[in-house]
Amino acid sequence: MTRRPDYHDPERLAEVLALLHEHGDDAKLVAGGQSLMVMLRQGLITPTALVDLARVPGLVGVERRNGALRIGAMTTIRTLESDPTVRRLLPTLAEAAAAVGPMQIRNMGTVGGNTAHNAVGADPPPALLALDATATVASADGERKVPLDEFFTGYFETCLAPTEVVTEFSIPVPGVGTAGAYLKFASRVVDMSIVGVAVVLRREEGRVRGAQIAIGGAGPVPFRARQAEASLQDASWSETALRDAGALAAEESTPLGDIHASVAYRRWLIRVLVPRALKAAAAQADGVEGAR
Amino acid sequence: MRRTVAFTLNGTAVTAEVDPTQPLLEVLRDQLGLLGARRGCETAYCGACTVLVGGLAVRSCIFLAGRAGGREITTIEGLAHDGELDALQAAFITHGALECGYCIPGMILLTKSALTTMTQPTEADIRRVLSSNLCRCTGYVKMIEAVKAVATSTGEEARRG
Repeated sequence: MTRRPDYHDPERLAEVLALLHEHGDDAKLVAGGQSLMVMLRQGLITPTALVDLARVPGLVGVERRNGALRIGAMTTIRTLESDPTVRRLLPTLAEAAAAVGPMQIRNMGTVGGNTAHNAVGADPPPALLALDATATVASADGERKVPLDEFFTGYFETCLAPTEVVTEFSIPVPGVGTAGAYLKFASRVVDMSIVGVAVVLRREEGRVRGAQIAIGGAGPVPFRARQAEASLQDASWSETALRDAGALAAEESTPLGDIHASVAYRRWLIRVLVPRALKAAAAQADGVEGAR
Repeated sequence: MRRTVAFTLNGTAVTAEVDPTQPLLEVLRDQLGLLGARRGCETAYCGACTVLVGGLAVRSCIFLAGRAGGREITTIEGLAHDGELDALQAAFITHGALECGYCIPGMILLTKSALTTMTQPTEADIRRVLSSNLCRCTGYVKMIEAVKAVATSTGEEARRG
């Protein structure tokens, strides 16, 4: 076995940033460690240093601030799944968190790690993308804000430089009457998504007043189905409108074909899952209305 | 780059000299001699290595030993109290919920962790929980029955208060 990396678990973010500055690409950050440790054990990566974020304060938690929900990057998937505020205000994200396969991974895995890893078929990234989240990214040079639609750049790649770390996500709290849902298709419930569809939906008097649709698993990066979204804007809520949106989303996707599913199959799943996710969101909104 | 970590293991304070980047599973099995956490796939796929850290199920094959410091860790060896089996252990026996047995410590600890947050889980809930771990014998049906029995009786106790 190759030499084990040195292990650093600093108690201040400044130390993390200094270590990244010093080691560059030879250092790897540990968030939940749920993908990293596997890659390490399989010899897919051979960093000389691990920088563990576990003891850095201020990276965990959900907080409402100035019309936005601020979610610390080290907040666990389990928290997103169970936190009452997330469930009430951002059901799309809570459902995506619950869809992450095994319970042990949800207990340890973090929203920051999951997003920065950008694995194809990860569930939280399309939810964050649909919700117009912004990532706060820190380095020794300072801080920058990155909208999620600029965050994912390629297959397992993001805009993050080796010296940078995501510290939090900020998500605008959707207005009253906004609903959301996340639907995933996988061969088994614990697997990564072959296709995952995250939607945020606002309707008024039988018309769509806004639909945000993000799709994961289909291509190298999660993407917003902008044409499908545009087709729904101010459309009357009908089977036809939903079906058209599904077809447009399938058309504007650039799926990968792999051992799990072909390009054509992924397109078909998008066509089916987009209307289904929109209906799930609508049903949930109607349920909430009914309960009032 | 070794360091000493001190943690609570099955209720007892222990220390171990570890490489902080090695998996907790290796520390438990190879240094501390507890073989209940099983070496299965070693790539976080099968769940046979599941242990509880602070009451939460984690996969010890990918849990950094360096993170064990100060934590409360429970393995299957720590589940019985004063010679009395945990309700889940007893139920697994009563329901014959094991074939070769290799995955069972992981299954029980996984379920133990899940039941702390679920009140009156449905069969679908239980299936979703058990889907986190693999049983190569495919003996899930009896496990579902065993967990259901414990979840129901726990629920009844809670309701009786």
